[in-house]
Amino acid sequence: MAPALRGLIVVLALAGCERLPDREPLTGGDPKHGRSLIREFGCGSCHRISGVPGANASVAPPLEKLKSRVYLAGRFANTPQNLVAWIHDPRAMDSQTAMPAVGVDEQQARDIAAYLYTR
Amino acid sequence: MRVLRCIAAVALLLAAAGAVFVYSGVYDVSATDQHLFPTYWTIRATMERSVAVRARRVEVPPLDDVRVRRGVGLYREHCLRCHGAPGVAPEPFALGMTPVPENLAYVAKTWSAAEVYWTVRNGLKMTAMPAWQYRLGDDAMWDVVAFVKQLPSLSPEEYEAMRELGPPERERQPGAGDARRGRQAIQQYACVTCHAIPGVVGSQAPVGPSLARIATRGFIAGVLPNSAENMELWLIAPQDVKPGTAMPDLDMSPHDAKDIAAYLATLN
Repeated sequence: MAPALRGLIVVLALAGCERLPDREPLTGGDPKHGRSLIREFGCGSCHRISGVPGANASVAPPLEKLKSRVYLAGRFANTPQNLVAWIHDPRAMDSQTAMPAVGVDEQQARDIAAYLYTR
Repeated sequence: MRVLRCIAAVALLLAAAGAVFVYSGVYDVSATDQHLFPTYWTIRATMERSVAVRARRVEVPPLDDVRVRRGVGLYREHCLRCHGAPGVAPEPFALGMTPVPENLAYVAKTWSAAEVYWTVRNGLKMTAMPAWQYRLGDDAMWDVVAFVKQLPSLSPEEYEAMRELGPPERERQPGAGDARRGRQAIQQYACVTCHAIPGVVGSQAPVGPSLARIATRGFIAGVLPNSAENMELWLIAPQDVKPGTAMPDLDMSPHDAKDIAAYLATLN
Protein backbone atom coordinates (compact mmCIF):
# COMPACT_ATOMS: atom_id res chain seq x y z
CA MET A 1 0.00 0.00 0.00
CA ALA A 2 1.31 3.45 -0.83
CA PRO A 3 2.32 5.51 2.23
CA ALA A 4 -0.07 8.29 1.19
CA LEU A 5 -2.98 5.86 1.05
CA ARG A 6 -2.01 4.36 4.38
CA GLY A 7 -1.81 7.87 5.85
CA LEU A 8 -5.26 8.67 4.51
CA ILE A 9 -6.69 5.54 6.11
CA VAL A 10 -5.09 6.45 9.43
CA VAL A 11 -6.55 9.97 9.24
CA LEU A 12 -9.99 8.59 8.41
CA ALA A 13 -9.74 6.08 11.21
CA LEU A 14 -8.77 8.87 13.57
CA ALA A 15 -11.67 11.05 12.53
CA GLY A 16 -14.06 8.13 12.71
CA CYS A 17 -13.42 5.99 15.72
CA GLU A 18 -10.48 7.06 17.85
CA ARG A 19 -11.96 7.84 21.29
CA LEU A 20 -9.48 9.07 23.84
CA PRO A 21 -10.42 9.49 27.49
CA ASP A 22 -10.24 13.00 29.00
CA ARG A 23 -7.89 11.77 31.68
CA GLU A 24 -5.49 8.83 31.66
CA PRO A 25 -5.55 7.31 35.20
CA LEU A 26 -1.86 6.34 35.60
CA THR A 27 -0.35 9.69 34.69
CA GLY A 28 -3.28 11.98 35.43
CA GLY A 29 -2.57 13.63 32.06
CA ASP A 30 -4.81 14.58 29.13
CA PRO A 31 -4.17 12.17 26.24
CA LYS A 32 -5.88 14.34 23.61
CA HIS A 33 -3.68 17.27 24.42
CA GLY A 34 -0.75 14.85 24.57
CA ARG A 35 -1.41 13.73 21.02
CA SER A 36 -1.31 17.26 19.65
CA LEU A 37 1.85 17.97 21.66
CA ILE A 38 3.49 14.89 20.11
CA ARG A 39 2.89 16.42 16.68
CA GLU A 40 4.02 19.83 17.83
CA PHE A 41 7.31 18.61 19.28
CA GLY A 42 7.99 16.32 16.33
CA CYS A 43 8.37 13.09 18.32
CA GLY A 44 7.40 11.27 15.13
CA SER A 45 10.62 12.28 13.41
CA CYS A 46 12.36 9.57 15.46
CA HIS A 47 9.59 7.28 16.78
CA ARG A 48 6.71 5.36 15.27
CA ILE A 49 3.60 6.26 17.28
CA SER A 50 0.23 4.81 16.36
CA GLY A 51 -2.59 7.33 15.94
CA VAL A 52 -0.22 10.16 15.08
CA PRO A 53 -0.15 10.79 11.33
CA GLY A 54 3.38 10.88 9.95
CA ALA A 55 4.95 9.41 13.11
CA ASN A 56 6.61 6.58 11.23
CA ALA A 57 10.34 7.06 11.74
CA SER A 58 12.67 4.34 12.87
CA VAL A 59 15.57 6.25 14.41
CA ALA A 60 14.45 5.15 17.86
CA PRO A 61 12.19 2.27 18.96
CA PRO A 62 8.47 2.28 18.17
CA LEU A 63 6.29 3.41 21.09
CA GLU A 64 3.55 0.82 20.61
CA LYS A 65 2.16 -0.83 23.74
CA LEU A 66 4.40 1.29 25.90
CA LYS A 67 2.20 0.62 28.93
CA SER A 68 3.14 -3.07 28.98
CA ARG A 69 6.88 -2.38 28.54
CA VAL A 70 8.99 -3.33 31.57
CA TYR A 71 11.83 -0.83 31.15
CA LEU A 72 12.15 2.69 29.81
CA ALA A 73 15.25 3.62 27.84
CA GLY A 74 16.66 0.20 28.71
CA ARG A 75 17.44 1.40 32.24
CA PHE A 76 14.49 2.61 34.27
CA ALA A 77 11.41 0.84 35.58
CA ASN A 78 8.38 1.79 33.50
CA THR A 79 6.49 3.94 36.00
CA PRO A 80 4.40 7.01 35.16
CA GLN A 81 6.81 9.20 37.16
CA ASN A 82 9.84 7.88 35.26
CA LEU A 83 8.13 8.26 31.89
CA VAL A 84 7.12 11.87 32.60
CA ALA A 85 10.60 12.72 33.89
CA TRP A 86 12.19 11.03 30.85
CA ILE A 87 10.09 12.94 28.31
CA HIS A 88 10.70 16.17 30.20
CA ASP A 89 14.50 15.84 30.31
CA PRO A 90 16.02 12.57 29.07
CA ARG A 91 19.59 13.83 29.29
CA ALA A 92 19.18 14.49 33.00
CA MET A 93 18.42 10.80 33.50
CA ASP A 94 20.94 9.37 31.04
CA SER A 95 23.76 11.53 29.74
CA GLN A 96 24.58 8.94 27.02
CA THR A 97 21.19 8.88 25.33
CA ALA A 98 20.63 10.01 21.77
CA MET A 99 17.20 11.34 22.80
CA PRO A 100 17.33 15.11 22.99
CA ALA A 101 15.55 17.38 25.49
CA VAL A 102 13.12 19.16 23.20
CA GLY A 103 11.79 21.65 25.74
CA VAL A 104 8.73 19.78 26.95
CA ASP A 105 7.67 21.10 30.37
CA GLU A 106 6.44 18.76 33.07
CA GLN A 107 2.72 19.23 32.51
CA GLN A 108 3.18 18.70 28.77
CA ALA A 109 5.29 15.61 29.48
CA ARG A 110 2.46 14.29 31.65
CA ASP A 111 -0.04 14.74 28.79
CA ILE A 112 2.31 13.08 26.27
CA ALA A 113 2.88 10.18 28.67
CA ALA A 114 -0.90 9.94 29.08
CA TYR A 115 -1.33 9.55 25.31
CA LEU A 116 1.47 6.98 25.03
CA TYR A 117 -0.12 4.90 27.81
CA THR A 118 -3.33 4.69 25.77
CA ARG A 119 -1.45 3.00 22.89
CA MET B 1 -18.79 -35.61 -1.98
CA ARG B 2 -20.40 -37.29 1.05
CA VAL B 3 -17.05 -38.71 2.07
CA LEU B 4 -15.44 -35.26 1.88
CA ARG B 5 -18.23 -33.78 3.96
CA CYS B 6 -17.81 -36.54 6.49
CA ILE B 7 -14.04 -35.93 6.74
CA ALA B 8 -14.63 -32.20 7.13
CA ALA B 9 -17.16 -32.82 9.92
CA VAL B 10 -14.76 -35.09 11.78
CA ALA B 11 -11.91 -32.60 11.37
CA LEU B 12 -14.13 -29.82 12.70
CA LEU B 13 -15.18 -31.95 15.66
CA LEU B 14 -11.55 -32.77 16.47
CA ALA B 15 -10.56 -29.10 16.25
CA ALA B 16 -13.47 -28.19 18.57
CA ALA B 17 -12.47 -30.92 21.04
CA GLY B 18 -8.87 -29.66 20.88
CA ALA B 19 -10.00 -26.12 21.60
CA VAL B 20 -12.08 -27.27 24.58
CA PHE B 21 -9.10 -29.28 25.87
CA VAL B 22 -6.79 -26.26 25.61
CA TYR B 23 -9.08 -23.52 26.91
CA SER B 24 -10.83 -25.46 29.68
CA GLY B 25 -7.49 -25.78 31.51
CA VAL B 26 -8.31 -29.42 32.23
CA TYR B 27 -4.76 -30.63 31.46
CA ASP B 28 -2.56 -30.53 34.57
CA VAL B 29 0.87 -29.11 33.71
CA SER B 30 2.26 -29.43 37.25
CA ALA B 31 5.55 -31.32 37.58
CA THR B 32 4.04 -33.42 40.38
CA ASP B 33 1.36 -34.86 38.11
CA GLN B 34 3.01 -37.89 36.53
CA HIS B 35 2.31 -38.88 32.94
CA LEU B 36 -0.08 -41.73 32.19
CA PHE B 37 1.93 -44.72 31.07
CA PRO B 38 0.80 -44.52 27.40
CA THR B 39 1.68 -40.80 27.33
CA TYR B 40 5.08 -41.51 28.86
CA TRP B 41 5.79 -44.33 26.45
CA THR B 42 4.78 -42.24 23.42
CA ILE B 43 6.93 -39.28 24.44
CA ARG B 44 9.86 -41.53 25.30
CA ALA B 45 9.71 -43.51 22.05
CA THR B 46 9.29 -40.31 20.00
CA MET B 47 12.36 -38.83 21.67
CA GLU B 48 14.51 -41.95 21.27
CA ARG B 49 13.61 -42.37 17.60
CA SER B 50 14.14 -38.68 16.92
CA VAL B 51 17.62 -38.81 18.45
CA ALA B 52 18.56 -42.12 16.79
CA VAL B 53 17.59 -40.92 13.30
CA ARG B 54 19.39 -37.61 13.64
CA ALA B 55 22.51 -39.13 15.21
CA ARG B 56 23.11 -41.30 12.15
CA ARG B 57 24.91 -38.45 10.44
CA VAL B 58 27.23 -37.79 13.38
CA GLU B 59 30.87 -38.83 12.93
CA VAL B 60 32.50 -39.96 16.15
CA PRO B 61 36.13 -38.94 16.81
CA PRO B 62 38.46 -41.19 18.86
CA LEU B 63 37.30 -40.96 22.49
CA ASP B 64 40.69 -41.37 24.13
CA ASP B 65 41.79 -41.05 27.73
CA VAL B 66 42.71 -37.36 27.39
CA ARG B 67 39.13 -36.63 26.36
CA VAL B 68 37.79 -38.64 29.29
CA ARG B 69 39.95 -36.70 31.76
CA ARG B 70 39.00 -33.35 30.27
CA GLY B 71 35.39 -34.54 30.18
CA VAL B 72 35.17 -35.33 33.90
CA GLY B 73 35.90 -31.68 34.76
CA LEU B 74 33.27 -30.43 32.33
CA TYR B 75 30.82 -33.02 33.63
CA ARG B 76 31.33 -31.92 37.24
CA GLU B 77 30.85 -28.30 36.22
CA HIS B 78 27.84 -28.62 33.92
CA CYS B 79 26.07 -32.01 34.24
CA LEU B 80 26.49 -33.24 37.81
CA ARG B 81 23.86 -31.04 39.43
CA CYS B 82 21.02 -32.54 37.39
CA HIS B 83 22.29 -36.01 36.50
CA GLY B 84 24.37 -36.97 39.52
CA ALA B 85 27.37 -39.34 39.20
CA PRO B 86 28.41 -42.70 40.66
CA GLY B 87 27.65 -42.36 44.37
CA VAL B 88 26.52 -38.71 44.00
CA ALA B 89 22.84 -37.70 43.97
CA PRO B 90 21.56 -34.86 41.81
CA GLU B 91 20.84 -31.55 43.59
CA PRO B 92 17.39 -31.32 45.23
CA PHE B 93 16.01 -28.95 42.55
CA ALA B 94 16.75 -31.53 39.85
CA LEU B 95 14.74 -34.16 41.68
CA GLY B 96 11.69 -31.92 41.36
CA MET B 97 11.75 -31.95 37.57
CA THR B 98 9.38 -33.80 35.26
CA PRO B 99 10.83 -35.58 33.37
CA VAL B 100 13.45 -36.25 36.04
CA PRO B 101 17.01 -36.10 34.60
CA GLU B 102 18.28 -39.52 33.52
CA ASN B 103 20.89 -41.61 35.27
CA LEU B 104 23.60 -41.32 32.62
CA ALA B 105 25.40 -44.52 33.59
CA TYR B 106 22.39 -46.34 32.22
CA VAL B 107 22.02 -44.06 29.20
CA ALA B 108 25.69 -44.65 28.37
CA LYS B 109 25.10 -48.40 28.29
CA THR B 110 22.16 -48.19 25.91
CA TRP B 111 22.90 -45.15 23.74
CA SER B 112 25.70 -44.82 21.18
CA ALA B 113 28.34 -42.10 21.52
CA ALA B 114 26.80 -40.36 18.48
CA GLU B 115 23.39 -40.28 20.18
CA VAL B 116 24.80 -38.92 23.44
CA TYR B 117 26.72 -36.29 21.47
CA TRP B 118 23.65 -35.28 19.47
CA THR B 119 21.65 -34.85 22.68
CA VAL B 120 24.37 -32.83 24.42
CA ARG B 121 24.75 -30.66 21.35
CA ASN B 122 21.08 -30.02 20.60
CA GLY B 123 19.29 -30.50 23.91
CA LEU B 124 15.80 -31.94 24.24
CA LYS B 125 12.70 -29.85 23.81
CA MET B 126 10.13 -29.98 26.67
CA THR B 127 12.69 -31.44 29.05
CA ALA B 128 15.14 -29.36 31.05
CA MET B 129 18.04 -30.60 28.89
CA PRO B 130 19.67 -27.54 27.32
CA ALA B 131 21.51 -27.40 24.00
CA TRP B 132 25.21 -27.04 24.78
CA GLN B 133 26.46 -26.03 21.34
CA TYR B 134 26.27 -22.33 22.24
CA ARG B 135 27.95 -22.88 25.61
CA LEU B 136 30.69 -25.40 24.83
CA GLY B 137 32.87 -25.89 21.78
CA ASP B 138 32.65 -29.05 19.71
CA ASP B 139 35.76 -30.55 21.30
CA ALA B 140 34.47 -29.91 24.79
CA MET B 141 31.17 -31.60 23.96
CA TRP B 142 33.03 -34.69 22.72
CA ASP B 143 35.08 -34.64 25.94
CA VAL B 144 31.84 -34.84 27.91
CA VAL B 145 30.62 -37.70 25.71
CA ALA B 146 33.90 -39.57 26.20
CA PHE B 147 33.47 -39.30 29.96
CA VAL B 148 29.76 -40.22 29.93
CA LYS B 149 30.52 -43.37 27.92
CA GLN B 150 32.94 -44.37 30.74
CA LEU B 151 30.32 -43.92 33.48
CA PRO B 152 29.02 -47.53 33.54
CA SER B 153 32.52 -48.85 34.25
CA LEU B 154 33.27 -46.45 37.14
CA SER B 155 32.77 -47.35 40.79
CA PRO B 156 31.91 -44.44 43.15
CA GLU B 157 35.47 -44.59 44.50
CA GLU B 158 37.05 -44.52 41.06
CA TYR B 159 34.84 -41.60 40.05
CA GLU B 160 35.74 -39.69 43.22
CA ALA B 161 39.46 -40.24 42.59
CA MET B 162 39.39 -39.12 38.93
CA ARG B 163 41.69 -36.17 38.25
CA GLU B 164 40.66 -33.49 35.82
CA LEU B 165 42.47 -31.93 32.89
CA GLY B 166 41.67 -28.30 32.11
CA PRO B 167 39.06 -27.71 29.39
CA PRO B 168 40.22 -26.70 25.92
CA GLU B 169 39.77 -23.13 24.66
CA ARG B 170 36.42 -22.29 23.12
CA GLU B 171 36.99 -22.24 19.37
CA ARG B 172 36.45 -19.01 17.44
CA GLN B 173 35.50 -18.82 13.81
CA PRO B 174 36.41 -15.90 11.56
CA GLY B 175 34.48 -14.78 8.46
CA ALA B 176 31.13 -13.16 7.71
CA GLY B 177 28.06 -13.64 9.90
CA ASP B 178 25.61 -16.44 9.12
CA ALA B 179 22.05 -15.13 9.50
CA ARG B 180 20.47 -18.60 9.61
CA ARG B 181 22.71 -19.72 12.42
CA GLY B 182 22.12 -16.34 14.03
CA ARG B 183 18.39 -16.96 14.21
CA GLN B 184 19.01 -20.22 16.04
CA ALA B 185 21.51 -18.50 18.32
CA ILE B 186 18.89 -15.85 19.17
CA GLN B 187 16.64 -18.58 20.44
CA GLN B 188 19.53 -20.17 22.32
CA TYR B 189 20.49 -16.95 24.13
CA ALA B 190 16.81 -16.61 25.14
CA CYS B 191 16.55 -13.16 23.52
CA VAL B 192 12.78 -13.68 23.08
CA THR B 193 12.18 -13.71 26.82
CA CYS B 194 12.70 -9.92 26.66
CA HIS B 195 12.25 -8.86 23.00
CA ALA B 196 9.66 -9.46 20.31
CA ILE B 197 11.70 -10.69 17.32
CA PRO B 198 10.10 -11.43 13.95
CA GLY B 199 10.92 -14.97 12.82
CA VAL B 200 11.61 -16.28 16.33
CA VAL B 201 8.80 -17.96 18.27
CA GLY B 202 8.74 -17.24 21.99
CA SER B 203 7.07 -15.34 24.79
CA GLN B 204 7.97 -12.03 23.08
CA ALA B 205 7.59 -10.22 26.39
CA PRO B 206 7.94 -6.43 26.14
CA VAL B 207 10.77 -6.26 28.67
CA GLY B 208 12.99 -4.57 26.11
CA PRO B 209 11.89 -2.96 22.84
CA SER B 210 10.58 -4.96 19.90
CA LEU B 211 13.31 -5.78 17.38
CA ALA B 212 10.95 -5.55 14.43
CA ARG B 213 12.70 -3.55 11.68
CA ILE B 214 15.76 -3.22 13.90
CA ALA B 215 17.93 -2.95 10.77
CA THR B 216 16.29 0.39 9.95
CA ARG B 217 16.74 1.75 13.50
CA GLY B 218 19.05 4.77 13.83
CA PHE B 219 20.48 3.87 17.20
CA ILE B 220 21.22 0.77 19.26
CA ALA B 221 20.07 1.07 22.88
CA GLY B 222 19.63 4.79 22.28
CA VAL B 223 23.37 5.35 22.49
CA LEU B 224 25.26 3.70 19.59
CA PRO B 225 24.79 4.46 15.89
CA ASN B 226 23.36 1.34 14.28
CA SER B 227 26.01 -0.63 12.34
CA ALA B 228 27.03 -4.28 12.14
CA GLU B 229 30.19 -3.71 14.22
CA ASN B 230 28.33 -1.72 16.86
CA MET B 231 25.62 -4.37 17.10
CA GLU B 232 28.29 -7.02 17.76
CA LEU B 233 29.93 -4.77 20.34
CA TRP B 234 26.57 -4.21 22.06
CA LEU B 235 25.69 -7.91 22.08
CA ILE B 236 29.06 -8.95 23.52
CA ALA B 237 29.39 -6.25 26.18
CA PRO B 238 26.17 -4.27 26.76
CA GLN B 239 27.28 -3.18 30.22
CA ASP B 240 30.46 -1.62 28.81
CA VAL B 241 28.55 0.23 26.10
CA LYS B 242 25.81 1.49 28.42
CA PRO B 243 26.63 0.98 32.11
CA GLY B 244 23.50 0.27 34.11
CA THR B 245 21.45 -1.04 31.19
CA ALA B 246 18.88 -3.72 31.94
CA MET B 247 20.32 -5.70 29.02
CA PRO B 248 22.50 -8.35 30.66
CA ASP B 249 25.92 -9.61 29.66
CA LEU B 250 25.10 -13.04 28.19
CA ASP B 251 28.68 -14.24 27.93
CA MET B 252 28.15 -14.28 24.17
CA SER B 253 31.00 -15.49 21.97
CA PRO B 254 32.14 -13.12 19.17
CA HIS B 255 31.16 -15.83 16.68
CA ASP B 256 27.58 -15.97 17.94
CA ALA B 257 27.38 -12.17 18.17
CA LYS B 258 28.43 -11.89 14.51
CA ASP B 259 25.77 -14.39 13.41
CA ILE B 260 23.04 -12.78 15.53
CA ALA B 261 23.95 -9.34 14.16
CA ALA B 262 23.71 -10.83 10.65
CA TYR B 263 20.18 -12.07 11.38
CA LEU B 264 19.09 -8.77 12.93
CA ALA B 265 20.40 -6.99 9.81
CA THR B 266 17.78 -8.88 7.78
CA LEU B 267 14.91 -7.37 9.82
CA ASN B 268 14.05 -4.33 7.75
